Amino acid sequence: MSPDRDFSVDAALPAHAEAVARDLGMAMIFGAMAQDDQTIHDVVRAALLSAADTDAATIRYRQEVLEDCLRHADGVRALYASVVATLDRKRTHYFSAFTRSPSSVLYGAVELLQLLRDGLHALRAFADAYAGRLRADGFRQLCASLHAELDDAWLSDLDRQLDVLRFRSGTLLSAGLGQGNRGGAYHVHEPPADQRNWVQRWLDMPPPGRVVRIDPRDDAGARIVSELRDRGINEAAHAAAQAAEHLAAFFEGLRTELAFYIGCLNLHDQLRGFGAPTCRPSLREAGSRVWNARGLSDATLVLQLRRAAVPNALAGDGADIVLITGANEGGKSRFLRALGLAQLMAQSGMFVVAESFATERCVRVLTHFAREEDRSLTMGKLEEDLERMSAIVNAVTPNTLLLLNESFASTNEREGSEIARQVVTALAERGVKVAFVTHLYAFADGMYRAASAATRCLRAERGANGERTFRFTAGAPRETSFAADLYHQVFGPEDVPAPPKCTARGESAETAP
Amino acid sequence: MHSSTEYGVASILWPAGAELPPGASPQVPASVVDLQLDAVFRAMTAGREEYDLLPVLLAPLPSREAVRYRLETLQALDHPQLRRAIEAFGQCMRTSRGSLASAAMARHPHERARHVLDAAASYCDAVDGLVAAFAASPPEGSGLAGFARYLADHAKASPHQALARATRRTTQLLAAVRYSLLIRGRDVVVAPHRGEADFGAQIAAKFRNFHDGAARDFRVRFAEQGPLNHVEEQILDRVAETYESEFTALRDFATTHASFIDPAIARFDREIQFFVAYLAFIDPLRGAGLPFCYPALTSDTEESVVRDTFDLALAATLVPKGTPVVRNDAELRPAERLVVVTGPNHGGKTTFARCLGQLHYLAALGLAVPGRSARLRLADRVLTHFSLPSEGQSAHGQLYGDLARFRDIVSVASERSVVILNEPFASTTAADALYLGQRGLGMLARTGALVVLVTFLAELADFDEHTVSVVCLAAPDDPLRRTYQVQRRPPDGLAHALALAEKFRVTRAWILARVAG
Repeated sequence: MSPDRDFSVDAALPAHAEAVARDLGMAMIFGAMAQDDQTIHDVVRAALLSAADTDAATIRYRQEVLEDCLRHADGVRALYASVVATLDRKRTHYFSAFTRSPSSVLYGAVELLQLLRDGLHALRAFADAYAGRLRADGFRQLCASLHAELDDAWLSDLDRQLDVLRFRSGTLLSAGLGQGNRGGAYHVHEPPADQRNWVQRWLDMPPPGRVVRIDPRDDAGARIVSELRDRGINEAAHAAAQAAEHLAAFFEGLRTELAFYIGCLNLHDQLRGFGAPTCRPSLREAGSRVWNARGLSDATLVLQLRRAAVPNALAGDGADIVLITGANEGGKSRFLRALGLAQLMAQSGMFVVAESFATERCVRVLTHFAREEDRSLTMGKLEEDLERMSAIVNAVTPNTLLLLNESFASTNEREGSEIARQVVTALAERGVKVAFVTHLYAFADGMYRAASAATRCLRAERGANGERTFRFTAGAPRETSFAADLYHQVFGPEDVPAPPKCTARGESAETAP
Repeated sequence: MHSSTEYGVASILWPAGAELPPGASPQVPASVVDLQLDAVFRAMTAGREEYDLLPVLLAPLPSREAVRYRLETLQALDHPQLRRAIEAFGQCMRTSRGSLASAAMARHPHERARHVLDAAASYCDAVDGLVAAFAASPPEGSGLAGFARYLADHAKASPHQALARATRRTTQLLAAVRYSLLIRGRDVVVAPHRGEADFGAQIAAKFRNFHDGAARDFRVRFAEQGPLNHVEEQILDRVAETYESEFTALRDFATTHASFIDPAIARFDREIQFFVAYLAFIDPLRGAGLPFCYPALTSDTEESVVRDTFDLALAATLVPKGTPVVRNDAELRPAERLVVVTGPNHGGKTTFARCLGQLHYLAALGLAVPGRSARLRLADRVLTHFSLPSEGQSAHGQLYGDLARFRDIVSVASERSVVILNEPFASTTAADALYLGQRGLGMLARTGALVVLVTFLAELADFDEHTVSVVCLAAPDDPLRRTYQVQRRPPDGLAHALALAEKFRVTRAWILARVAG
């Protein structure tokens, strides 16, 4: 997942990550990638929601690994399956015996090491088979380290050590004198390898006083000896258990690292199956204000429709503010979601659902979507709206991408427009990139009339009969007439002229069809 | 042998001639509870029960000389180097006492002797460490300097030298003993160790490459308390036979050095904890930026001034939660005897009054006080009258109890006392409370005590020519930061409605201010 550190599923997500996931409908993406594998689900969720924290080198690293995975999908899936199988067997065979006594700690550790040892042999086999064929740095490093660290000598030495830890012929310890001259600082020792029958010779050792023999009736004494042995092997059992845990963690880590790519393969196969295009996005440095797309669609929509969706294009290079206006149900929210999702997928190192997609690496991606239930004109709703905005203001930094969807719509149009104007212009002035789907005509119109090169106005396109095409064209905002829309819905597509408000920048000639 | 009094230091807590008053009762008085200092003392002494510090904390000092004597020691200890040395000394002494306790419980002679040896080793570590620390930077303050001289001479004298030598030699001999054990069923074979490698370490080394930082600890904890059992004793006997000369040396040591702790050092060990405990308690508060200072004691013809002070008990609960602590100044001009505190509910009145009580109490213990600077009178008593929550008591019963407690206060208060009254007669009607308040204040005025009165009765704010009125109110300009102000001025008699302005701070100007460019 990264050239220089392990990926952590448990790392804290950026502020507002939950809201972003909800607003962009990402649960469906996670589900499609995971295909009921919880590890994949957790990894892709963490990777996508913290995508903005991924540095350029890591993105490139993942893109290259992903390309290898797409080329050798069967081999990578087989490797993942073998790692999962090893970990599953660990779960069934190994009932977390670590607790009671050093003896049971040691027993559990040896069993687990035995089991993981077989998994290591499978890893070696993968490395041997694919070493020459995988090109990405990530895979080359993995294969090289598997070769270097799991060589034959290491594996056979492991078998010998597991044998010693079974203590078949007695436990050989050494000790120093601790508090009150109680034995302490115990070490376990390997029995002398070259001497046969060494145990018997020890037991017969002169002078005879050196053997402590517990009377057969002294059960307390026998328990004490067994506890003494436990004390003696405590450190060695700890070392073996840590070794087992490290090795298990290595497999868990490998699963985590591979899970992201298996998730990508899963999603890729589905989207391609539905006929949607995918491509490797181009990422530029933050602040470059590169933002353009062709054939872009919202992955969640493709998954819902189970066919390719109407693609959208964006020519947003140089834009600080993209305003998206137009009638209801024209696909504005879909378009905004597609932009947000593509941004996160691109910054996490994934492909995007587009023919081409180029963007800057935003330092954060945040969303402020009006909640469906918020569309009433009450102060409580506006307060909620503003409170969330205030929390977002805490989190924004220059080169944050902020997606606003019908924000501030819960008050009247004039006041909502004024709040929107203040928020958007101040954020843009502080270097925040804003894409805003809005019905606030006074706001949108004012921004349009200000005629800044850094502001782009897109409008949902209408077909010849006023029907929705789900496409967007550059154009002045129009005062949205809910009444007209409703009229259409109720009475059919009559010729209802849009209010003649469009005057600036040569768009005035454009009239409704 | 020298005696510690020859060095002018009988005690680090009381200068020559002064002592803990006999019969000092460990019963915490109600005033300490009202000031919430009981919680402070509990936190301070937690884990230090063996030093029995509570009687010291409940015995305010009688003279300025005694306060100065403690402040000198506290100030000297307030340097990290010396404090670390004292803490290390205390730790070694504790360990030594623990070993002696184990020796008393041990049955086997080799076991008992070893505990005595360990106790001596810890004791020598304690003494040597402190001697070295005192030599490296000689402590200031008459108490500490006197003890440092005593300790240096004691450590140089031959009995201690002999103890240290014998302890070192015997410890080294025993540390070199390492034996092998073969355990097979019920048989245990003891033999000299021949230096085979540690197999556990080999396992750890083999898997080092898989190590990714955090790892669980799988060691099982074994109770190490209690004497050896009969199997351990038998094994120890075999080890002693195998390493005969080492165990002879141990037996000789225990015979020669049966008791070795110097009484003056033991006393110092206990008493110095008074200071260490307080410094440890205020560490996190200072870490959070709260100031502490050494109070200067004034006579009552001088002004009392405290800057940036705060409620110590409250601060100790707020700081761990990261909540800011309100600080205030307080001043009292020479003729002022009565401070009447008024203001709205939750304006910080009680906290302010409690804070003044704490200041006088802590200063009289010879401790540093909350604040950037403090000039205070030395109080012989800090008396309090806080209305108790009525538990099924009739209004009449409660008022009777309030009055009885008031009478007790008047009977003991002197012109050197500080009396904190918190809504003293709130259980009755405003008219009655005013009547009783005026009567009560009149009685207290005759004692000459310094009185701090928290009340909702604005009429008491100009009680007499020795009265000063202060008003506590939440600062209205920023309701999100709860800051309090204490102002010397007549009471308002108004409840303040707090204005909420630009609640969510998402105007253009706010955003430009909140988001860094």
